[in-house]
Amino acid sequence: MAGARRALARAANQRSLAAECLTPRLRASADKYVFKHDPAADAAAVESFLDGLHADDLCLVIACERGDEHAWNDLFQGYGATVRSAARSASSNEAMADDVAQSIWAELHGLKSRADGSPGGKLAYYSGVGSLGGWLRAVVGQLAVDQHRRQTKLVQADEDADLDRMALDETDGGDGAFHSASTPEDLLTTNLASADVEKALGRALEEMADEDRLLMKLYYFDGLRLREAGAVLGVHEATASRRLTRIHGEVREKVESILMKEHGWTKAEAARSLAEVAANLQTDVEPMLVTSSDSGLQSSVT
Amino acid sequence: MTPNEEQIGLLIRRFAHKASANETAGHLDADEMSAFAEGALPPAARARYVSHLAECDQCRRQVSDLSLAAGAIARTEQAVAAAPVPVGWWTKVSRLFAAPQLRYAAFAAMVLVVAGVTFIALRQRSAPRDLVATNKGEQPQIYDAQKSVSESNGDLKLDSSEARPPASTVSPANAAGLVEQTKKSGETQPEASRPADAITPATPPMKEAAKVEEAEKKSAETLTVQNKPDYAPAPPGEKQSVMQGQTGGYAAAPGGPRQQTQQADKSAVAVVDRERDLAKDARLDNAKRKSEQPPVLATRGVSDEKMKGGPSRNMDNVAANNRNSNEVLRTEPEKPATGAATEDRAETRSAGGHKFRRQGNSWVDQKFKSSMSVRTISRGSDEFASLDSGLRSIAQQVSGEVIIVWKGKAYLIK
Repeated sequence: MAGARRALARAANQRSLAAECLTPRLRASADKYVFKHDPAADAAAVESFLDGLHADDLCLVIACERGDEHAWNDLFQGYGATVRSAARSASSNEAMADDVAQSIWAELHGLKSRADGSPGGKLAYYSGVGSLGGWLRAVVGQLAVDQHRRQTKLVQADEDADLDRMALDETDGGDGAFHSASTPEDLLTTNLASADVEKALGRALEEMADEDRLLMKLYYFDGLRLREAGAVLGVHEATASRRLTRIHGEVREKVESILMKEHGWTKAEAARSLAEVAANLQTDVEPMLVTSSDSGLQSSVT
Repeated sequence: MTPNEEQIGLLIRRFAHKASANETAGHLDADEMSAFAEGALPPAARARYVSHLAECDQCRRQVSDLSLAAGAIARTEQAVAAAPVPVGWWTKVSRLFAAPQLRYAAFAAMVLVVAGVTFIALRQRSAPRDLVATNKGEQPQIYDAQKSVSESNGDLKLDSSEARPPASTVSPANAAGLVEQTKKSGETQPEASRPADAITPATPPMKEAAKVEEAEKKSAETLTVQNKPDYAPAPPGEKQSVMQGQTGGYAAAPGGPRQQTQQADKSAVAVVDRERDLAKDARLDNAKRKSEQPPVLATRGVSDEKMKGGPSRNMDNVAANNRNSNEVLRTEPEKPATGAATEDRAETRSAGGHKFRRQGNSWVDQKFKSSMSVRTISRGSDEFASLDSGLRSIAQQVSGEVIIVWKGKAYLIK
């Protein structure tokens, strides 16, 4: 394997790592990303995979795991800015960003050792498939999400207590504002012409191909722009637009087919119902949906 | 975006807003997320993660954030810019018709069209010339043959009316011979273009007799017209042409040129005999008038007698029976004239559609002008034989020296 030999040579030259240190990581990476999903993968696929590994980053991480001070310095100097930037992006405020950035190094090193004596830090999970910088951003993001969840749980517990209290007041005959004030979702539900359309739409989305469903969710559920959704999937905006247009047609056909087959509607009735539901949504709810999706995007970032 | 797409988009957006967040049991770890965000995964692993991301909102949001932070947008745009655009055959063909190419192609097409139209126009114009050039040796013969037929048709018309043989002379044998001659002449003439009257000889003698009667009726009608006080009777040629015009210009041609020639010879002899008899009668009548009656009464009596007895005498005369009814029409109004007029009647005659007047011992075509150059040809010579059949036919009808204007040229036939 040329890729493996090249990685071993770099490890020996730059970090003075023996082949025994690197080989298990290479094997683990191949198992995780190649053989796990394609047990019958041939040598060419494995070689291609090893050739694409970020060997330098992997050697740096292994050296850090082995307690190489030079390697830690290189890691800190080389990726300190990346970590801080990722922490600021993933955190809602500067204090939280500093907290995340400080704690990430401890997470990477690991305060506890594993059973085999190796450090229990997150560096052991780096496979070299992606870049070290990207991996660090992902780790920082997960850390930020965990911290956000911990804080949100505390807040939600207070909110739940308030809601329970309000509901109790309602049952006691108080004129609480909980039921009188309709949420946008309630308005949307009441304005929906038919629940059958909603069910058919849900089924149509479920039966879509994974790639198409991911694009739909990135665009409609997560509120990403088409350019961004295409970038997540690794395709250009124009390609994503073409796909979306095709998906629209397929979903419409599927919904109409479900309505006709399972509910006995005619094609004209199905088309008319779709048009009416969409018209109601457009006139009544669309502005609300836009703001809701924006807030949803913000919450996802936080 | 079409209205249908907008409708579906709105419905999906609404569904997405209502749908509860999907929380799957296992999430992608940081390494998998970063690998997916950087597009570094093998295809099989990527497909598995796409399936997970389509269901797991948490992982999907993190992956999308990572992707955007890792510069996925710039990466995809660079990849698109760097990737060679696959050019299909249809694209190649459509490029040929792109505006930059079309500006030259349109000019070239215009030049080609103009050249093509010019070529076709010139070719169409030159085609008749070529046809004439190739048929130069044959065309005059065909034309002469047709011309002779058409002109001899006139002669035959004249024969049938003016020098018409008695009905008894039209025997089945003669008719058969005429049919044969017609067939021979038909070889040089297309069947379709052959005049309808050309088949006349093939008809039985009874039909021929009926035709003769019809011709006599026509001549009688013409006679009534001519009996109007017209002191300048129309020349016989015009009447003949009128008759030809009535038959569509292609009067009956009982046979080919050869037969026409024979008949023309016969009719010429008959005409000469008839004219000789008429001249004798006129001289005798003049002598009688001078001796018995005053001039005016004598003239009237002669005219009456002519009106009564003339035709009967002519009927007795075989040669007179051959006279053209036109000739009769022409000569009848002249009978009341004086003896000089009677002389004058013999001074003109017609043959083959040409009018002739006597000048001394020769007959001169009335179309003849002194400015014309005259070509002298002896009868029986090779030169005479090489003449157009129509011209020869006229020459044979008119005995003696005759000047015939034929196709704008004057021929002196001796």
